[in-house]
Amino acid sequence: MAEFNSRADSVDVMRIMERIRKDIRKQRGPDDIERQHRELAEATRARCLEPRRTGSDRYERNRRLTLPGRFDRDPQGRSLAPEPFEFNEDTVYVSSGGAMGKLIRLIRRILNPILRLFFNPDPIIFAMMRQAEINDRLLDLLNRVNVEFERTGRKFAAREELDALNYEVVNNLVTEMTRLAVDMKNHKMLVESVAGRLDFDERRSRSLESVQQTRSAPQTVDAERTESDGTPAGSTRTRRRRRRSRRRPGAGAPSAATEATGETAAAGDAGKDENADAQVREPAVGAAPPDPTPTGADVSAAPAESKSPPAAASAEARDAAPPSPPAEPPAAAPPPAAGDR
Amino acid sequence: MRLAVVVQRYGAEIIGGSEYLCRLIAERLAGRHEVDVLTTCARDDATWKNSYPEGDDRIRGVTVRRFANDRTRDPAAFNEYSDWIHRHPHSADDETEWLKQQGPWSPGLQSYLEQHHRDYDALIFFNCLYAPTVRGLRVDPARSILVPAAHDQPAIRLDLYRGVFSLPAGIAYTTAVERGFLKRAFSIRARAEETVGCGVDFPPSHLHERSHPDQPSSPLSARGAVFRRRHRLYGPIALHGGRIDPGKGCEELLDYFNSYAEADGDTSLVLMGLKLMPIPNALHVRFAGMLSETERLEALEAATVVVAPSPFESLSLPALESFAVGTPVLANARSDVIVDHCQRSNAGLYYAGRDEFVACLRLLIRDDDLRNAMGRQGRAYIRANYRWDIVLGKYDRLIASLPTSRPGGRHPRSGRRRGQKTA
Repeated sequence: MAEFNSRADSVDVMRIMERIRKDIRKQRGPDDIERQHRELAEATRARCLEPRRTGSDRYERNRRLTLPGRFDRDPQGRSLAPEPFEFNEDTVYVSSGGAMGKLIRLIRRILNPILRLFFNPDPIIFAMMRQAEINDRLLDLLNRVNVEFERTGRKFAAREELDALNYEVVNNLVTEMTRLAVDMKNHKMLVESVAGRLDFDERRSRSLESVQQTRSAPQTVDAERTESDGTPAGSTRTRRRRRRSRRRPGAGAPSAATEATGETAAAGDAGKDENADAQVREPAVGAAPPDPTPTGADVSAAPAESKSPPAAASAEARDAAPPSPPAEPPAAAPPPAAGDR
Repeated sequence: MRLAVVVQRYGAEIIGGSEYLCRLIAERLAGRHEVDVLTTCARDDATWKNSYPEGDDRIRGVTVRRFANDRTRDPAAFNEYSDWIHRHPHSADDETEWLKQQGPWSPGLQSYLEQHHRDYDALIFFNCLYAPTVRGLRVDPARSILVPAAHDQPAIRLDLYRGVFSLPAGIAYTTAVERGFLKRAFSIRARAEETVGCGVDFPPSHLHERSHPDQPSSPLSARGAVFRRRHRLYGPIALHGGRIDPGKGCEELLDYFNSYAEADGDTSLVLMGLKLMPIPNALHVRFAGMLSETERLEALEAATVVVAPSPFESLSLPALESFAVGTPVLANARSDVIVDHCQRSNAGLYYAGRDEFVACLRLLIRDDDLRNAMGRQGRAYIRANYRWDIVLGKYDRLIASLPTSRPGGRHPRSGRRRGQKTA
């Protein structure tokens, strides 16, 4: 699309529209009419093949149509045409069989000249003979028409069977398409459900990871401190512990022994570590600052501490989840129900 | 001055159409004159069933006198009769019967007009199609003003309406397109004619020019930021306001917009108004629902483009309002009225097919300079033609052109000279 010069207050809508229409004509090219026809045909076909718009009773309605029967027969198949009657010039004189009949026929012959005095029976006889011939020919024609009709009827019947078959196929197609549409919808819902579960799992794993980081962060800091500037690892923990104890004034300040017990329980029941811990914890509970010089016990305590879960993390874990066994490594601690939060 | 405004139905909850136009005009005229609205008790124009109580009412400072309808419309029978009358030769009585069936048919309103028309300085009739106007215009044509709100439709070609446009002394056309159509189709003998339309309110915060694009305002105070934040809209917006109805071109709009969204996926189509058709569940189509007046203006400000897909419009107030807030319009080219607005204002484009829709929308969304220039021109167009003082001034001119036969009737300007000695 060409750019328009659209400086302030110089916009001419008609010029822009002309330009747009010109561009469209250029893009379309000479095959545009064919493309439009194709679009129209596609739209029509799409409407016809739309399964929701195709009546499922169409096949049944078609099946209810009655097939045409033969018009010269009654419903029982008997012919409706009368039997042919042969007529010749002697027919008017014929009487019943036997001697009496022959006598009557003879008398009629003898009296025939007298009859002719009253009227001429020849034209009547001639007309009747011609009518008999006409009847024969008509019957023959009727038979031939019947034969043709029957053959055409058979063709129609075959065609209708084919139509019925076509309708059945279309009906099946429609049914299948509807089933596929329903299946597709089900699959879509399934995908949505799986996506939801995946999302939930992701959130859960993220929260587990965050808990893991929270728990492992103090350990890392302690270890780094011990390694870098020789600060005892227990001092950080002491500060954290003190803050926690202040957060709960209603519960009263825990005694050093209680804290030591709790810490011992949390840190494990190794005798040496317990002593070292108690030494480090003492200044935290009292007022004296910790000795910055690392003692042998302090140094030895640091790696022992790093094996146990940090106190702060333990306190958080206690709030959020059942307590873990003290000797367990941090990775084995039961995760909080992050997804449930 | 005392004015009677005659309309087929009237109410604060009736949105759109000539009734809405009538209410806006009557409310504004009530500030300058004593206005009585004479109408029926109907609320629903499909049946004209009496819904409001008969008698006097007061709506937003306007006195409303309601009269009961004698009959309701049977839509099926009326449609059948309409089909017949448009396709077969018929008599004048048949057309009267058609007018009755169309409704509203209120003999009370007619007899009130006949008895009290001299109490008013002017009678203003809205919408030429309905019986109150067709019959009411005959009562006192010399002091009648017609607001036709007409467009080319089969019904207006009935002989019944041939006399309607030759009766009134004044005609207030809604648009220049309507004026051209009526002048071509009917013999008009009015002494005074004006193309008036309807006034448009400028939002107070946008009486000034929009801030220059080189100096962007903060996201919190940007145009339409509140609407965008509330509806979580972050990209460009194509907004349609009004009835969401296939008859209003919304099916075509959705179809065309899908074609546009396939290529430029970050634009959202926001539909605002009454939903009368299912809206597809697509990411780029958002339904904002019915909004308050303030929110509606915020939405128009927030929109990058306002789309007017209706092929039949007699005025298109949403398009004028979007011009007023400086948002360009993309209109259906089949609507002569909006195309005329776009061409006169140079503030909107129009589409006659899918390709044009896509090309126009793409251009309007991508070209900020074009949009800003169109916005400026749209505001200038509204300021020059559709400010309320201009619209009311035109009505005053029309009223002043009528003979004052009412005892004690005054010239519209005489109100301002109260207390001065007359010469």
